[in-house]
Amino acid sequence: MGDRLRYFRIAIATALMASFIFVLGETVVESQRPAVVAAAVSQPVPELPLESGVFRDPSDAREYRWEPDARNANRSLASFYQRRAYDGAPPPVPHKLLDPGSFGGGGCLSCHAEGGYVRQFKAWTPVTPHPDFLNCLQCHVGEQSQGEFRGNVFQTVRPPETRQAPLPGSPPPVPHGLQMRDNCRACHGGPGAVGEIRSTHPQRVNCRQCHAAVAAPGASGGEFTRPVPGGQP
Amino acid sequence: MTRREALRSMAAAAAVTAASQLAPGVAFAAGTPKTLSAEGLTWKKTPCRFCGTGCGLLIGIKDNRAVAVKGDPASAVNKGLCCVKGYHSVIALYGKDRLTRAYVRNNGQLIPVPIGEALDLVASKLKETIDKHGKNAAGIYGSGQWTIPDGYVASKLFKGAIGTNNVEANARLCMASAVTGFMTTFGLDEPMGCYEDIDHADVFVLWGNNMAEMHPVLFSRMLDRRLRNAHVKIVDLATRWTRTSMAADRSILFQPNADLALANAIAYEMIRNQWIHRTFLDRHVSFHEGKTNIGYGTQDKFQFTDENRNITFNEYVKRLEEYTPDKVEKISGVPARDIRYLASLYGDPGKKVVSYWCMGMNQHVRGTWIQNLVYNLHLLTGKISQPGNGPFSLTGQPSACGTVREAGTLTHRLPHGDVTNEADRKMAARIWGVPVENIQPKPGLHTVEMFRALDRGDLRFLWIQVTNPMVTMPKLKRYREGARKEGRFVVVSDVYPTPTTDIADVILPSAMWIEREGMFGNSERRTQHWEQMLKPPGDAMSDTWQLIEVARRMGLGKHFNWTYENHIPEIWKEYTSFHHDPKHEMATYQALRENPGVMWPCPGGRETKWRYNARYDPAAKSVNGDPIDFYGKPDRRAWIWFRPWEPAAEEPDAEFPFWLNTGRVVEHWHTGSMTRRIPILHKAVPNAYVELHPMDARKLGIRNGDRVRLTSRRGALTLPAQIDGRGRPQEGHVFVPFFDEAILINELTLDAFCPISKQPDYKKCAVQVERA
Amino acid sequence: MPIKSYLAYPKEGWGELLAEKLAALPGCSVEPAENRELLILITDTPEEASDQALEQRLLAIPELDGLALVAAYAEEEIG
Repeated sequence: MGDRLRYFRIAIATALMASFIFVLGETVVESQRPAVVAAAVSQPVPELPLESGVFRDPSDAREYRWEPDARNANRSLASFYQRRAYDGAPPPVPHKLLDPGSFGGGGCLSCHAEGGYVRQFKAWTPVTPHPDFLNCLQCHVGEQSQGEFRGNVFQTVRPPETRQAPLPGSPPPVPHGLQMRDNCRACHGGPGAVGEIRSTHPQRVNCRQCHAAVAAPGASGGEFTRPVPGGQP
Repeated sequence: MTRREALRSMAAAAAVTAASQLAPGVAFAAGTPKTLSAEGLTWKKTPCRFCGTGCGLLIGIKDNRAVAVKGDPASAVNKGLCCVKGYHSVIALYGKDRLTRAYVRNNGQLIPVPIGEALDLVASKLKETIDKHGKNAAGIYGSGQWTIPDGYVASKLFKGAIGTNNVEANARLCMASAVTGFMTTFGLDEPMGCYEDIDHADVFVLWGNNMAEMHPVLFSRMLDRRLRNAHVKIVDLATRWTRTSMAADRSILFQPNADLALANAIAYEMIRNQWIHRTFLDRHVSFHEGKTNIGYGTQDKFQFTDENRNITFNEYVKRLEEYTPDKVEKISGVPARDIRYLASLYGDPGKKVVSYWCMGMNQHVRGTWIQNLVYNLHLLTGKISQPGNGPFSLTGQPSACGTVREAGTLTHRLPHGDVTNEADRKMAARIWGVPVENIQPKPGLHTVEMFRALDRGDLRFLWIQVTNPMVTMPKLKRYREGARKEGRFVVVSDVYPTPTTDIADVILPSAMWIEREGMFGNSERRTQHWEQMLKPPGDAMSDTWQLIEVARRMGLGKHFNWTYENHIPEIWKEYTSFHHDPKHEMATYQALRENPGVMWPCPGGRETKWRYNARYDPAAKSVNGDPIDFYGKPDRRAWIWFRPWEPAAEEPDAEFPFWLNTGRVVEHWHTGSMTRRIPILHKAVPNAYVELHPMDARKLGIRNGDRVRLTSRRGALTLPAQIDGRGRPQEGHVFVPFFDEAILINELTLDAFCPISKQPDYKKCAVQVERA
Repeated sequence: MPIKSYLAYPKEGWGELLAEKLAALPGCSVEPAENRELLILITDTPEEASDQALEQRLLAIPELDGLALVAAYAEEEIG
């Protein structure tokens, strides 16, 4: 009985393979014909700046499945915000610059584009959410001293709260702006991610299919009300 | 406290901050920093307050406090990106030692007084000085950080109502050579192109311009262009290796002042290879030469007037024969093959070329000449006034163009034209409602001469607004001691104590940037408006309103008859009535409020991206399908000037064997009075240092961090060495940034200037270097 | 990394006991919040190995719900 099933499977597999080879052959022949569709004039594709990184490089998504224990995360939301003057400010470089004569570029991106474990710092590298910008040291500056020149009393507002899901178990919305943060997985996926906000499913690439951006520019907030001619019923 | 204890308390403080952000309202016995709820946060647009790029920012405002910054995605300048200064700019409003009261010096001590009392004193001292010593014993010195209304009101008060041309701005130290360069070549100030050139060019040539640090947002746009277009090349011409050299495809180092010879050699090589645009030259260019051996202005009351002699193309070519690549290799240290390479870039008809420069060419004893010579390269090839092709002079201050150049706050300028021109004086007198005789037909004191006059006693009253000359003047000691002499009355309007407020007789606290309404004009002729977003602290008052208050106290109030609520739109209306002309039409107040920025000329509300080209510029007239029209000069041509190479004012010798170069770093802006009060920026670069070449350091036995003594003929200074940090000077050169008021490098610099522009050269003098 | 600061979140209702337990560990000092179930923990250890050992002991405390690192200074920085 078991054997019969096995033979049946082999037979099916063989038949499928044969048809595949046939289709492949057809395709190869097809591809040798000259293309008849003229290439469109190469026009720069208008880019939506806030959306451009959403589908960035899904090829490595499988690697993000590998998750170290969240309790061992070397980045927490507390340290994330502590390092920034306000939510959205560029953080300074917390380690010695490998080459201060460099403008950033490949030197910084060799670690911060893809991430990974750095033995020297005993830490998982945070991944930049905006790897297209190359002049890194324009915004991220080093730290040579700890004091202040004359003291400062700047205050900021609290960063957005996490876990604002409207229903138990429903996908939480994106509570922050997306400017310069178009690659979600930089902060939310992989071992270099921030502990509390690490996604449980980073291999799913189309984040905004489920997570709506509440902080979208132009969003007016408040509840939807339908304007009714002659007043509300 | 030991370092260990200090770090423990810092770690604890960080945790308190983090806790208060994550758990609203949390309290600890050790004290709790306040953070505000994000409820009701609003975002308002403004240009950045620092350099001349003019990035659009969105400022987050909550409960009368600025709490966050975003790049404005709607701004055509920066498209949502800023630099570290812009992102942290609002923190500069909240330094603990912010000036919120007026001070008056009494028996050597600065005593706080109500601001009304201080303004009374300023008005009475100004009147008294004019009565005793004449109008020209008084003056005002502002800057390219003046908003357009500030500069316009200063000019109207001093040039129109009082009647002295002693109105100057620190932009004289910053871009006067750019102005004279534009005027001598094109007859009209400011660039023909715009930042959008970056998105079209194939080759970028940077002349003495460390753009990666000084104009980083534009540099990033250039890197982005190269990333998407592999053929794009960036060439860095400089006297020092910088982050820009590192990022460039080619770095070419030359000896100071040899850029004059280098530009001529490129021209020579292009002509020799026939890489020039003959039709363009025949139709749109004329050839000229001026005086040579023009001096350096180091003596008081130095005078110079250039002379124009028309020459032919052949005469021009003949004069260039002194500048073959091989001869220039000896002067400049640049290999002849590199000069030929540069000529091939400029000369290739298939390549669009943009040249960028800023202080390297402006702070130059032959600043006007080098501008002329770089324009020549674009004119010889016709690569100008089209998308992706053109010379572009960058500016260092947010409104060097808008206020100083357009509203006319240099001694010889008026809001439209020059004081020497009768028609311009009549126009100003009519709009200002003053007798035309009030406006003097002779220019007054230019910046260096203004401080010399203060030292000599020819100038008795000086009002300094938004600038810090006691850090920025070259040969500083003379001017500091001069300003302190008996019988001089110095008023300083500022937001923080500085070495300049140290010499003040009256300090007026100023409202800063978004604490008042205003406009700036950036490098690409773009005017940008912001509304008042915050209440100024204490008695602080905008510079415009301080001037108006003093005018009223002097009985000149009828010229400034506005209310606080309407004064900015009224000033804008009056100022722009100087420019109802297709060559300079400015945007309406309404358009400025509604847009991140508007470029002039904008007749009929339409911006002009490329001037002198009829396809884009309604003021240009197309002849037989040729759209180029250099309408600034009476012959409707751009002028190619032959200018020779001449040496710097002071060169290294046996006694002072090193070149001293000065400049900025990305973190600090100018004298650091704002950026040093931003913790992240101060931590990044806490003090000035001297950069040395590693070979020189080894010869002198100097290691990284060692104390080094620099001595020039003017003064001496001890500061730490930095070897192979972010820059590397050539052998025999040193570099020092000027932001640090505790390490005043301008004690050593020389007050030599370009005789045409009167702009000092901060990039070249001779020093000794030794281990301290 | 011998000087570190953390935010420590106790399991609901176990704040006081957690504070006591943490304060009893070598090199630990604790600052409980006055109005929340949250405390600040500063650890100061002589070298990397003892820091690692301490961290293991912290994570084993049953009253601790979560530990978030805020700031850290390595021994070389303290110097």
